[in-house]
Amino acid sequence: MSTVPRVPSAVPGQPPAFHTVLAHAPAIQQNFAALYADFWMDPALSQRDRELARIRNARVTACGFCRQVRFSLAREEGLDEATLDLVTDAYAESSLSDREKRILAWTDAVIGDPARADPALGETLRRDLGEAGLAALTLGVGLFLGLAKVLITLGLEPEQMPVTVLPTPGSAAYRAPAAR
Amino acid sequence: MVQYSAVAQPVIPAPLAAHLEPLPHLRAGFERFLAACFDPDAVPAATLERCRRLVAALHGADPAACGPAFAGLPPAEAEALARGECPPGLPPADALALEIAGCIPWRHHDLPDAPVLAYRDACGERAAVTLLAALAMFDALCRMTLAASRLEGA
Repeated sequence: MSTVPRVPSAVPGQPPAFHTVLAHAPAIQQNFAALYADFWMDPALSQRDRELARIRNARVTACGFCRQVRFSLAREEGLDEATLDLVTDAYAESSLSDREKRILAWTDAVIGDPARADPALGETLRRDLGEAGLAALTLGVGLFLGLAKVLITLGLEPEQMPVTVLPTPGSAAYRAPAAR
Repeated sequence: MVQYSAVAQPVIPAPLAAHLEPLPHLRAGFERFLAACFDPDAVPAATLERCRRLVAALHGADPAACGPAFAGLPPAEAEALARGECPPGLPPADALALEIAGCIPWRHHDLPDAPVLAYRDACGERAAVTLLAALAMFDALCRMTLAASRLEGA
């Protein structure tokens, strides 16, 4: 693990951070920002479901930034820290709903050993979430994992960081100049 | 070595593309994002191809699960990569890229500073950022495709 940036900021006067380092490759930065905003605003999956999967990935992948971030819309919809505290390796025995446990199990399948993903779990999730919801979950987990690894390997994890609520990408608060 | 036109072919492997079909706008956005990560103007096509094959091998997967082929490789080199090994005699930057790639699927926190800093110094900051994004997305794409393929039999 490195908490020393391995690539400097591409933006003069700004410190190395995910968006300022990614700016060395503007097409990656711009296409990711557009996709991530569209993903979070798509109605196929609830904000709560997405955030549960994102936090599960953040904890398993051990991304020091991702696991301290909370997105605002899920927070506003009532997803609190007590619930997120249940997203541990023991979530199967927790008070989360069976549907939420299946969402976490699919998240684990993608970020763990996907060649052993249980088709029966996928079929049940199809009924839980619909085809579009399951597709959104798979896409989200892939993005969460991929971008966490980019951040980690660039050395952009903070030494310390409190739990921080950020505007959900694509939301009105995210687009407002004061929020950026 | 045969050079392929990477941007002219679909980037998302077929089983995953079918899985994402209910979300055509997100699938199209994902396609554009991946194409930006797999940019042969920033990282040579042969380097991308070597890394794609190594990441697939570390997953025990067919290279097609990690995205399209970017370049042809000599058979001996392809065979070494399929065994999860770094072929001998590569350009130094490619050996560094493969050293980094070897950590991405299962040991991303074990990646030391040295190969990343050496690759950045040799190839530049744009190439370093693009390489790390490409490697992470080869890994993510492979996982998503393997999971989606498991659903096909459900």
